[in-house]
Amino acid sequence: MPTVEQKELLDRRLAPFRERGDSEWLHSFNATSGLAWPFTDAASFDELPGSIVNPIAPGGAARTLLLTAIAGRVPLALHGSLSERGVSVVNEPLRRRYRWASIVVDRRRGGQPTYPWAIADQGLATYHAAPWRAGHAAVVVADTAWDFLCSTRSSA
Amino acid sequence: MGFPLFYALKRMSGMAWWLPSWLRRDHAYRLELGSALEYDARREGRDPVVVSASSSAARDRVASSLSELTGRVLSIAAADWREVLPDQPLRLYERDNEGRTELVPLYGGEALDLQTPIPRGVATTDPAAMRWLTEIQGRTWTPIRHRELGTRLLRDMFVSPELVRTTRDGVGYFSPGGVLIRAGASLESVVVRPTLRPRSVLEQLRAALEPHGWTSEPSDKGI
Repeated sequence: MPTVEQKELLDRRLAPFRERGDSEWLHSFNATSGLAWPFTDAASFDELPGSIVNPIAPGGAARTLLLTAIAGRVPLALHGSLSERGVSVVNEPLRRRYRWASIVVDRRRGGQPTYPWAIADQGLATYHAAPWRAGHAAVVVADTAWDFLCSTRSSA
Repeated sequence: MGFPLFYALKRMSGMAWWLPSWLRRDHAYRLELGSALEYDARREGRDPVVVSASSSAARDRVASSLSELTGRVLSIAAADWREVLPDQPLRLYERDNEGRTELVPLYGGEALDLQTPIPRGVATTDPAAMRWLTEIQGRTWTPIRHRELGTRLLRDMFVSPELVRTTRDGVGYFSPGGVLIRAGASLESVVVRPTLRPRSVLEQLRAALEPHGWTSEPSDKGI
């Protein structure tokens, strides 16, 4: 688990998404209950997709983490809220590793299903300053999935 | 720091991949990654690199063996992760509402009643439930990045540093900005109109340091 100092650093960097007087609010957030200030609950948007494909990783917290970062995830509480709004949530268990890999490598193929991030990305577009330089395509190497919890644990 | 670095680069540059040790043993992932490196990076004119925030030895080892890992003939170099952070990161803004440059007069050194943009294409069932971030960018002035400065620069509008901070390009604040928002009220009626007071470097240094008992003066060399 992160140290007290790491959590304090995280809190400071999250301003203005930091609620004064409650240092634990972010760290106890686990998507099992509704969102509160200062977040906008994307499930309360006027317009929502008619159907969402909710991919489920083939096993392991790290695979789930990576899949969530790329495609998003619909936790139970959100599933209920979306159903009440008439959104169909179709769970897609990714039993084959090749299917999981093709999603998380994110090669921008056309014809992608509507994944959970589409709810929050509604109305948004990616912008960049001109002139645009494509720059690098980085492969980030690490030793464990959890090295961000303890940076001193890494080994050569 | 592997996963946070990957995620930041993915968001800021649009193209990055995570390769912890356990994924280096995943055949399906290696094949897909190799294909992306060979075709996608080249198609966009990007330089493929291997970086690591936790182990330069692991980085160099992977850089030299990535062709073997992926089954592709790849020319890929190791790099310091700081060198691949984009100067101009990609950003998500509301489509067609990303903001325009406007000339703003200063009265007594202050820009009064700045217009806070309101989301136009996205709305919530209860208007008061919509929150967003607004950033004021100066053309010839940027503040020091320090959490003490936000409330000093946007004076009188924000009493808490949790609602405003200095950014790389200016000052960002939480919107609509009012502390108390009446349920059902329109965004137009509750959104704040802040006043920006640009400060000199010395004034900003003093504002950041004085709460900690430090004082600051220009050196006698004039620097």
